[in-house]
Amino acid sequence: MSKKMKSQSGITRRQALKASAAGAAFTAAAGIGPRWLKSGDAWAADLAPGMTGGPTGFAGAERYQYDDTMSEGRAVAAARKLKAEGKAPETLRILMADGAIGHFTNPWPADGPTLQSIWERETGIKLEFFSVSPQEQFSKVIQDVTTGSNAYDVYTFGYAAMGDLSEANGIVPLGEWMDKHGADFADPERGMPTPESYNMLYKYGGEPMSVCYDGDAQVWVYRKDLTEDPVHKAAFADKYGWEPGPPRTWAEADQLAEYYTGRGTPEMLGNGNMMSAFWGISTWYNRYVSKDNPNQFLFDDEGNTLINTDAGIAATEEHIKSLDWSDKGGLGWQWSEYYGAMAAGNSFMLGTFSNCPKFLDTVNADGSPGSAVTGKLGSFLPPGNQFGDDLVRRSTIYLGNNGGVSSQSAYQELAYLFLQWSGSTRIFSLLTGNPGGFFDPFQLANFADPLVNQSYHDYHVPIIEGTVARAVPTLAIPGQFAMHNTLSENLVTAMTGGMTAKEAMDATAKSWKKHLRKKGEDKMIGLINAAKSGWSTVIDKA
Amino acid sequence: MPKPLHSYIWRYALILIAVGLALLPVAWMATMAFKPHTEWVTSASDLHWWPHQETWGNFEYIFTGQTEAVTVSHERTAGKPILASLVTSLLGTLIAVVAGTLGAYAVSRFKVGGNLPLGVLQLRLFPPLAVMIPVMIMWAFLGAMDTWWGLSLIYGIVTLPFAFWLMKTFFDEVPREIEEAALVEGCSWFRVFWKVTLPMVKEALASTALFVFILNWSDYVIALLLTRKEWVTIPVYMNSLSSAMSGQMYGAKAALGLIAALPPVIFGIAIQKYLVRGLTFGALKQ
Amino acid sequence: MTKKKKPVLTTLEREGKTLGLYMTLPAQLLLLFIVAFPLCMQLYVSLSWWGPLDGVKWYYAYESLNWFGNYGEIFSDAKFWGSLGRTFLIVAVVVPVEFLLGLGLAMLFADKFPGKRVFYSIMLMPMMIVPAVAGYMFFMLFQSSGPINDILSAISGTKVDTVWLADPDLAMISVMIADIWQWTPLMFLILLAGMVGVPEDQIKAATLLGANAWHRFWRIVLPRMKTVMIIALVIRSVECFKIFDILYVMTGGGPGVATKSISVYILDLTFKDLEWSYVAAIGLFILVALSLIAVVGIYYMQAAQKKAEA
Repeated sequence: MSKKMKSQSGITRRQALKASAAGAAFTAAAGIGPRWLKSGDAWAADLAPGMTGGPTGFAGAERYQYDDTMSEGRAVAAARKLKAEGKAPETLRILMADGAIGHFTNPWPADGPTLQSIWERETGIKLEFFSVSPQEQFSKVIQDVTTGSNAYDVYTFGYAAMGDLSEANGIVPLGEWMDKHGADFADPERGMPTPESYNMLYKYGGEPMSVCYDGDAQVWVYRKDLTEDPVHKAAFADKYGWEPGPPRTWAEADQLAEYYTGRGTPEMLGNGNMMSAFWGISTWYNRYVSKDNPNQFLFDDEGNTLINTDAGIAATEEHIKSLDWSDKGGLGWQWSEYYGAMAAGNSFMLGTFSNCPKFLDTVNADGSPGSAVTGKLGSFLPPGNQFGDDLVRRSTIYLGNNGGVSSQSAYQELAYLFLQWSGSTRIFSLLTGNPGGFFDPFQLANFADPLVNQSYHDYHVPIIEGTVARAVPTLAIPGQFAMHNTLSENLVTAMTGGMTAKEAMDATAKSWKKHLRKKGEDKMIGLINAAKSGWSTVIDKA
Repeated sequence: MPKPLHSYIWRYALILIAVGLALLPVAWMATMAFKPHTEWVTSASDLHWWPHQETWGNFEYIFTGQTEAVTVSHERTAGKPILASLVTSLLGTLIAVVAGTLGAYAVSRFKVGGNLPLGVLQLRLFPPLAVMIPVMIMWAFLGAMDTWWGLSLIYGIVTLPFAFWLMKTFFDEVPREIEEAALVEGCSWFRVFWKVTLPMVKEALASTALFVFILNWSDYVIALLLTRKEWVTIPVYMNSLSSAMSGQMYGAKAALGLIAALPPVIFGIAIQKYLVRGLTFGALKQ
Repeated sequence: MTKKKKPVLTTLEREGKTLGLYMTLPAQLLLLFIVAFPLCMQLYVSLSWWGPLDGVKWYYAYESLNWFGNYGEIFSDAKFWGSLGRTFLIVAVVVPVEFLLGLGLAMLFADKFPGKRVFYSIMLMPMMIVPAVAGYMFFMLFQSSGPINDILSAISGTKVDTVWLADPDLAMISVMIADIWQWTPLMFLILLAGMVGVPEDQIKAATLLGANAWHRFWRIVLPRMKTVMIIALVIRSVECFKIFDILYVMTGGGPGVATKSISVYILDLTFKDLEWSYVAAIGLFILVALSLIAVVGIYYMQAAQKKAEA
């Protein structure tokens, strides 16, 4: 990995050293090094003038450095203060998914330090990561909460589980600390793209409960090379009356899927979307939520289910139909296998987590293509539905990763400070650009960052930004795991012919209503309506 | 009397088919373990059993966390899980076999222990998942989560029934006359058990130990729920072998699966002779 | 033994009883350890609606006391009965198939022939594979572009691209095949032991009297093997009822709920639905049901044994 990154960054170590040496000289001359730096902290000399911390040792490192007026710098300063007061542990324990810990442990750029080493050298508090497979992630958290094991200070979980963990008293509210330490999460220039997206990803019941680590909106990628191929271009236009390319509506997306099924070598499938249990819910959601203008909600304001209305049934029928153009065996897959199918050139397009090109459109150290689709991908804003002159394009955030502070931790404020440091816009830009993990960009500062653009590719980053702005949440209320599980089971049963679309939606709706009743209908409807402030209001012109 | 040739042909044909079917999945796993990641998932037209380019990369990946061809590195390596599986399975086996053997002898000889036979039977009847919530809470309370002793203890408990019932049937088979002779000569009961009876059933003890070991070694769900990091076992670790680059890491999983098959196979071959007798639960004594 | 007891044995017997109590102690303690608290907690919690989302520790379950609400729900829980039904279906198919295959294999291996030891060792191989690993293996084998379809294509001469794990019926069959593959060797092992245990002189005598192979098997071998067979069937049925690892890895209970066994359902209830008091009720329900079956079974077996001895 490191070899590859070196070749990509195109910066030699000598250049980097020269740049940082110049900065160091300036710092020394001006004598404005931070007071707490010891002479032994060699890295401190590499900081840009006035900066108190951050990565060093590679060209452009100063973009990620900070001082006490910035979110990261304040977090580090406060953490050091807590440590001096004896209110910090030797080691902070963090539960995180396999494949994400690399963000902290993988040096990137190749000449740079790891994020873990930056935190540890600046605060003197060690980080210990506990890895868990993404599907076991929530189980591990809830197990820790209910058994009172106190094994972790920081939990990570899908944003939708914020409700579950808040109700279970597993995580503590962060609002007070956010104000006290001046986090930049909602900064209109560097933070979340829209107030709605901030509400969606940080808050539960109107209160900030966790720090977002992962945009995770479903972003579409497709085989650009095949739509530009003259033969396909002509044949497609002949059949459907428009030139193949990014679709604007679901109808167009389905036409692309239909046309490209069986084309290419190896013979590909037009619809590479996740259709399986658990993972495939997001594909269904993407289709469903754009069925009304501005949004097709899941419940109306009185708490009646909308998934079993005509719109919901139509979306489900289209979803089932789209299975014609996808790998039937895919119903037993996990997300990584859909990536694998795309990487092998077996799929035409895929609306999935935004890091798909980061992992698929790569070049090996020796210059050979990293996958069968290197250099062949394009991406587009999510397809939608047309309502008069309005085009409602929607994507959903179904899973994601948020960091929360364990209510059992003896070092809650410090745990929060770690989240603030790693989730603020400078460090997070460096974190998300790192190919060692799968956390995806979602902050305005990330999208403007050259390293993020390098990892995620220039063609893809603006699309991620546009998609996050058009993203809506799924169910983010307590018990959402059970509700999603029912939806997933019924969807798959319908796809394998065991139910009609209507039966599947009716059964799901019935089970959802029962769930609301059991958990207290008034309270749940209140939460559902409160969550509507997280739904996107961006409307495109048709 | 010599059997006709055709009966031999039939027998070998059937045996070869059976052996072939038994080996097929193992063979696929074994060759998969040596395939580079480009050959893990293939389209039907390119399916092949023997790797085109044999590689040790999968083994390298699981033991070092990285290998040339796979660009995503893994934070966890297989060394610790293999050790954890070995330690907890062996200790669990020790607990189950010691407690089971002592208990079985007492029940078999002295008709004491009342509820014990039925109690351990119920323990084995019951799906472990149905009782994992209280066990999790208890283990957390005792500080036994993610410890070698916590996992060994639960292994010893869930396989105790097998050890108990197997050993009980062996003790039932041992002729009383030999023990009584020793008693008449003035040996204490415990000495008789230790010096006379136990040596007579040592083969049975070995096959019991093997079965209990295989059961412990096979566990997935208990380790999934009662470990976090330090004592994660092989099947739980295997769960983590997938990446965004290449989907499920079939090759790495196969390599680990192959390693996981070694201890029971070695153990099994070592005591193969006693296996058959060991498993009849005393049904042959009549 | 009780009739002409020598006095020396009575003292010894008393000694023996004391020693016996000590010897059962470790097993008793282990049993008590794993039963006492979990059973009490399970019982207590099952009488409430308590779950992790309540945000209180389990001992506050009395706050949402409902007495037998959870037990009542079991009877109207279609998912529970569906899972139970599927589990019984798996047991009902898999165990007889394993039994017949195991019996057939045991007959093939009953007497000596060159290469027996090698073939015998290989036949036991599937048992030695960790079930979760076997699950991954079969997951790969049953992919639509995987080796099973490849072999079927070679045999049939046409391209087979059956989607095994994504079709409700085929997924069930795939899981059954995997289980049969893994556990037929155990049946074989037990039944072979039973077969070898039949005294050879009886068989020879029957042969001399002119009984053909089928008769010898039917009249002499089979009756002697009855107990072994029952034991083999009982062990496999009990273990198969708990089927989890191989199934969970292969299909996760899907597609939809097509292969959801009772263990998978309980896991879902625990970590997805977070209905912990309901899990407790189901656990106790299953415990009582299985114990009844076990007690009745043991009673009949003992009765049968007494009858045979008489």
